[in-house]
Amino acid sequence: MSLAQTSSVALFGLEGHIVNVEVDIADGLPMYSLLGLPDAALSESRDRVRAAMVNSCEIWPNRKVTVSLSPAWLPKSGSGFDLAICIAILSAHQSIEPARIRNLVFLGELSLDGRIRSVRGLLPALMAAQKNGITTAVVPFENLAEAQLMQGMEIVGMAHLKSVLHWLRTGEREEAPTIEYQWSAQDAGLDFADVAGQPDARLAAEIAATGGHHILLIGPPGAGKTMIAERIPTIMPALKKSEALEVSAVHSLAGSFTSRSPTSLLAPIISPHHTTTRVAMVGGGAHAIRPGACSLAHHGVLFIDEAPECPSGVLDSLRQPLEAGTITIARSIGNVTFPASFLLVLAANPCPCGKFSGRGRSCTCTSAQVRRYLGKLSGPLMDRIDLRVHVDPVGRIDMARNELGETSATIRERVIAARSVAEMRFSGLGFSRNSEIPARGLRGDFRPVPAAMNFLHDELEREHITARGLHKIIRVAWTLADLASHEIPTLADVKKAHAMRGGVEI
Amino acid sequence: MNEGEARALLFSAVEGAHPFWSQEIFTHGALTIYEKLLNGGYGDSKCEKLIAKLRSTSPDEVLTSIARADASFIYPGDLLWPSSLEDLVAPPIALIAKGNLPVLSQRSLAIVGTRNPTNYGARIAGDFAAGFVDRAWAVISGGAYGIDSFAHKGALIAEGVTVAVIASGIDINYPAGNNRLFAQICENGAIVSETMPGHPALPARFLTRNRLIAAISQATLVVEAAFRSGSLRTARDAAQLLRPVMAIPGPINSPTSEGCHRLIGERVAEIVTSVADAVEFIGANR
Repeated sequence: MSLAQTSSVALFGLEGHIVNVEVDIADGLPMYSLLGLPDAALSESRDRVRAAMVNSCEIWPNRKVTVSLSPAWLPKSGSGFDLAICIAILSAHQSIEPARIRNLVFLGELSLDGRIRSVRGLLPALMAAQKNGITTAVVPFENLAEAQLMQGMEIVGMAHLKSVLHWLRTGEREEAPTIEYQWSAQDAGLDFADVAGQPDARLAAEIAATGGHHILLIGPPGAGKTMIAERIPTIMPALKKSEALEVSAVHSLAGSFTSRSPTSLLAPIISPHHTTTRVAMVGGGAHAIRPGACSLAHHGVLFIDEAPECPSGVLDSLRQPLEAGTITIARSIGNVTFPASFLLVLAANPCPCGKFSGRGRSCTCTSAQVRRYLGKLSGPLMDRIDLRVHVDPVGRIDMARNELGETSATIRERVIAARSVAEMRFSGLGFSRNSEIPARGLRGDFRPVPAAMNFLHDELEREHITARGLHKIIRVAWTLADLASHEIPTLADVKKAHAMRGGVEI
Repeated sequence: MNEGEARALLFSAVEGAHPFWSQEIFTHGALTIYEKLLNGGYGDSKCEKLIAKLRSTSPDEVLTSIARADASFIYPGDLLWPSSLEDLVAPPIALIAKGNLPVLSQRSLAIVGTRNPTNYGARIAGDFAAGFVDRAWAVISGGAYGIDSFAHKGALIAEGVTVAVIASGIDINYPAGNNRLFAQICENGAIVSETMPGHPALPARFLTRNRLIAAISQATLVVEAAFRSGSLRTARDAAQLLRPVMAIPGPINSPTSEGCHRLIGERVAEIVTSVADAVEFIGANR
């Protein structure tokens, strides 16, 4: 028999489809055809597979080889099918028992000498395989750490084609060192204790981390905006394992495990440069749709420094994910949805030259420039920012002070406690954080004390706040109440929330 | 040719706040000056351009263009003319105004400040405007973004009267983002300009406009101003006219309060911290 079949996985966004790799070897002139909508990288697999096979002392069938990747209508991309194609060809060539490979999934790119190279998106691919009832997967050794996050699946990490063939033929595995993976919340050594002074910004960061409220930091260069933003993940509770798996899946797809360990429980922080394009921010791409910065920041922090310098379309593209917690990207090859539930942290200078603070005497900007600069942020995006904090330059006393500020661990304890209060309150309602309370709830079960409502209605009447602003203020007030162990938000909580939103709506 | 027509001609030909002509016209009347000009009384060579301008247009043209902008032409001697303008060193030759013109002679407070206020300034501007409106004062400002807008809006929310003195022609809404505000101001209050319809708001016109804000009102309040701010000009103009000038203090590290602190430090402005304070200070200094 010169027919063989095995499986691999095609990814479309985070969604994986099992692909049957079928190989038929027929008599005829030597030729090779690859069916099933391959892209350029996949079409080149023939040369890689052939070289790898020959260099691993196997014989290339000099006959008519037909490789079909089904379902045929599904566009397939990337080099991850190399290993599956190679194994299927050898099996069709009767050098591997066809039954041996029927229920296996092979993922990996081949190099010309037969080594197996890592592939992007391994984790989501394995998730799809598991969902389709496949229990054993052969993966590149380099990806082993990531692959072992899959519970209940036998993962065979292989570094070379020869060892795969040896294993398939004899059942013997060269003792592959299994990597002991351990979930860890090890951080990069950042700590809030490093931040001198800045009580307002610290409090805002704590509120943001607790309730999931988006935040804007305005201040002159050197005041510590970036320092504070980078430390926000350190006060967020460690990710739950299910959350961590989601985060790792997205990072696997983007191939960004150089900066982040797949087994990290730390909330990710992604800080794209302000020249970032829209596609890089929300994801996209012509052949394979890749997740953008906002998806990589899923369950973590998306920090955009110098936000007013961003081309406006880039920031506005964040509006959908801010609203929905996911981002749907439509291309001619189909729609892909990535998770994108992140905490948005924006930082901005007070004016283009950055010196419009303190006494402001060295600022060289005209008032129109200053106005336009922060004006770039206004509108629908600013509406979704609940906390707008001015970060003043660090004062003389704060610099001279010897004792350190509060540590991240101390703050995180408060955050975790306040979050659990909120989770308890919202249990069974389908949301868990204060920033997610629906508007109806704010007027119903989750009203602050009457005095606070009167205060807000007064503000509304005097056109100091909008109706949307009123809702946002109550949400932040709930977080303040949780942090202060108030049962429901008091007038003081609401006033504080109002002040932190920046008071008057312009 | 009567006085009004001569005024219209001179108004269209002479840029506002001209140190010589405005004083000359104020003292002798427009008709006298017009005739003296055409008769070479000021020297033909010196006033060549001005005379050419006067000859190139007719009073009718000027007045029609004003009427087309749905505005009125007012000048000294009119019932509607706010006489407080006559204290100026360079009083305006005339004004173009639209809206409810009698309010121009009402007791009024000028509220001025930066285009980039903090929330603190925005709120204070609104609160003081409303507070003075409650005490039957009109609120005068410049119609710009920032403190000006908040002052106008504060007065409107309190259902009071407010006047915008603008630096462009009366038919140009500058800044355009305040279109709606200008329309609301016109409902009960007024908009005033010292340039011909269609003229843009040139930088120099903001400064000459500021002197009108200072002169037309009985007192001036600076809410928030940066170290270099046009509002400081308004305050100094008002001080020169010996009108009460007040400034709102702010945190010493807020760049938008620096100008106010400067005025207070130089004793140009009195520090006020409440509407009641301000009313009392104005009462004592009138």
